[in-house]
Amino acid sequence: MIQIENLKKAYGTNQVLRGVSLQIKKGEIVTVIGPSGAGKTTLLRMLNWLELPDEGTIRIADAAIDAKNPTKKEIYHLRAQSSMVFQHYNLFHNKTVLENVTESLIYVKKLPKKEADEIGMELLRKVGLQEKHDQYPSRLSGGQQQRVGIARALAVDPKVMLFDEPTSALDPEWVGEVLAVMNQIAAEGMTMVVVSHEMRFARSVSNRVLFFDEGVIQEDGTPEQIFRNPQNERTKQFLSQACLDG
Amino acid sequence: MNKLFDPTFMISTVPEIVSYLPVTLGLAVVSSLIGLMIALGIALVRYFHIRILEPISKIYVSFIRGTPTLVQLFLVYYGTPILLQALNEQFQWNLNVDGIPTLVFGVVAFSFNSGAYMSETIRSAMLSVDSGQLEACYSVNMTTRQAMVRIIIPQAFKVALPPLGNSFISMVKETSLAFSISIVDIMAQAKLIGARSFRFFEIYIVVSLIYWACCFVIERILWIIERYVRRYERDVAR
Repeated sequence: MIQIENLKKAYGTNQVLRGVSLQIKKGEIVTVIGPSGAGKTTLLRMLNWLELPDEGTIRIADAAIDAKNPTKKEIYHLRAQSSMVFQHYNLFHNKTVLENVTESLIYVKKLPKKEADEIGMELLRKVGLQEKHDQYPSRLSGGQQQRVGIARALAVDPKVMLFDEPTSALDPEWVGEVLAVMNQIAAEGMTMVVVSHEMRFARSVSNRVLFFDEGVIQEDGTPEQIFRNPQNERTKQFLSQACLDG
Repeated sequence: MNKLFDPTFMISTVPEIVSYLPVTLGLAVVSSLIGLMIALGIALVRYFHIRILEPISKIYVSFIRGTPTLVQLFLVYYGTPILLQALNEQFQWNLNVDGIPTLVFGVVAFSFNSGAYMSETIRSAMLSVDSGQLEACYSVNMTTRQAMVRIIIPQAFKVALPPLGNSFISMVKETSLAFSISIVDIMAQAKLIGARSFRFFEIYIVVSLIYWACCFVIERILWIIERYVRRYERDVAR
């Protein structure tokens, strides 16, 4: 489903990604963990082409792109394969909850408004927010905003869903409701890549965990392997810290 | 027999002056609308750092802000005939400067003037929209154009509205300079009546009250528009 080869990115002299290669199969739920500033988010954002790699190739489903000479068409095609759930939700402030979800249906997929509204309401029902459809995002709690964010990402009908620390801006009481929605999507067989500090999710839902540090994948395995029996010294250190909090 | 101050005379001149109000307001509205288009174009050029056009935009904004409006009016007024003459000689055209109503010179000068000021307003408003909004647009596969039209510019407009309203109110008053290129607006008419009656003080009170009344109405309208564009914001108790 996803095939990344030798992705590199530097901000000035700071090497954020030092040649990352990775394959993800259809239906895999991959959690990427690691310390802040390790490049996890950068990697995730590149999959949606929100960040330009300096070097390397990305392939998602039938879309392929090379960092050297990407064309506009390739970029849009690559983006169409995946959709992103953001740490700070990034809901369209000037659109209602329903409009946030239907925006891409009406203006990208060019569906008639009535049909888009039906799909939009269905997706809102899925995240449990259909009664909020005519509210503006500013009136919702963080957890509700993030669920709208997930509904908006689902509306794209993506092959892969990317989650950039979807719960780290949320109050603890709201984390549960967002994770519940993510569990549900995972159960439906969606391929998911989740950057998260949420060890509960990494352990219970994902079937693969990547430990990312210093711009490379340090360790790659099942949650069982990574959490019970980490091989890498850095992984051990990180987990002993993280699991004290989580 | 000559009263020091003549209120009846003041009231009697009101209809005569108000009859030129369409010129003042028309000049302000049309110039501001054209100015807004110019401003949006300039703001987009600078937002996206478009090559060649960006330095030209910077020079334009700098020049307009660095020269008096009155001088700009004269430049358009005296420059246009020379420009037309040059074009006629160059291309064997037959453009006639006398065919252009003076009002057009005013509109041109005021449009370029307000466009420069408003472009800075719009540009800073666009920059104030969180980059996460653009990212969200891209993540649902919108094109840059769709993102600007549907998400970024509407949000920027909300931020820009109060200062744009400011610019518009300034424009209403700056049109009083149009008299110097022989456009007859309410200011010009006031001067003419003043010269006729030698009651300049009374007439300037009348004209100032008319300007104030216009601007007051515009303020109210802007307030209503602002309330509408901010409808999606949360109220905060202050």
